[in-house]
Amino acid sequence: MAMSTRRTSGTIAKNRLEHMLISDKMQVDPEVLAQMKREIRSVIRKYVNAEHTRLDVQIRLINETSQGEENVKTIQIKGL
Amino acid sequence: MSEVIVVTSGKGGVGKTTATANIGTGLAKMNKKTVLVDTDIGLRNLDVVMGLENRIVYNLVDVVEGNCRLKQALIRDKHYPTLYLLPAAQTRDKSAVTPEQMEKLTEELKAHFDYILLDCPAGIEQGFRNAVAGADRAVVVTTPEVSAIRDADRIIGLLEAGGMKQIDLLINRLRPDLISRGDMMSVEDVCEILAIPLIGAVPDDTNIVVSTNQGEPLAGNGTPSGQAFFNVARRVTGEAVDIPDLSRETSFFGRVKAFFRKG
Repeated sequence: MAMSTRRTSGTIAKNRLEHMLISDKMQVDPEVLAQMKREIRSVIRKYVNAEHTRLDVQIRLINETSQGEENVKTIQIKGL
Repeated sequence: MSEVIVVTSGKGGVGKTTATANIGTGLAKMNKKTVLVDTDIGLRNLDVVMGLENRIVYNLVDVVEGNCRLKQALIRDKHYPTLYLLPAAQTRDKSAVTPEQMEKLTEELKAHFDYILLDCPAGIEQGFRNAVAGADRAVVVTTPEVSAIRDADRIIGLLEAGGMKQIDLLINRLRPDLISRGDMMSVEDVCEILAIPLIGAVPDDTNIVVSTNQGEPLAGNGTPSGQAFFNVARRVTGEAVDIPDLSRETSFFGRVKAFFRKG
């Protein structure tokens, strides 16, 4: 059980990778993205008592084109 | 009905050529008429991995430019009569061929073969665009490393944007010992991030080095990677084959160690 929560180099790799891919997809600098994550977390924690809880946030960026088509980008931010 | 499959990765050195050679050998072992096309013009390697480097007379560029007929450029494998190689040119570069010419070439190959495997060069430039042009489906090869997975994600995005109908994931060079102690991303981790169907998980295996040294692909022999690659070939044909869990140590000693770690 302790295996899954311990910060092994494998989980560090996975977290770095997820951060990198979100940053690539949103075209936001990794540093700015980290700041955004911190702000999202503090906003949620301000209104919701989320101590000892892990937050998974899903953001959908929807582009409406002139043909009415949508270009949807889904961004998952896990373990805030 | 024949299928054109591009083996690609983005990052170099993750095992595209090894995978192409071994999946092709696996398909040939199942008596499928298979041709391996090396699209890495200027940096050809597939001939060496297949051990056919001394038999090259004509190459892909010669066929495209009409210097020879397709049949003259095809090299038959040493062991499997249904397996052929179309080598890349070594003295030219990627601009020697256009995506349209590649599409025409793969159409022509479809008339003679069940499976056409295209070994894609690393990168996302013209060599990549040439290789994917004629393909019906793609196998994206990655290793469980941050850099390789990031590039694989980019490649998957490009393939999807280009309308590739089927994209499968092959995770290469997995180390069960490192995964079980948490020092390598597991098959599940990589699948979760890349979110495409898994077609195979191949363990890191020193036999691959020996196989490449000798120019004898090992798909289907008794080695761990040989078995894994043969299973990939079976899944390519649509056969349902279980993917074994490479996150656990298989040796008795490893299992004992893992047991005590958990406790």
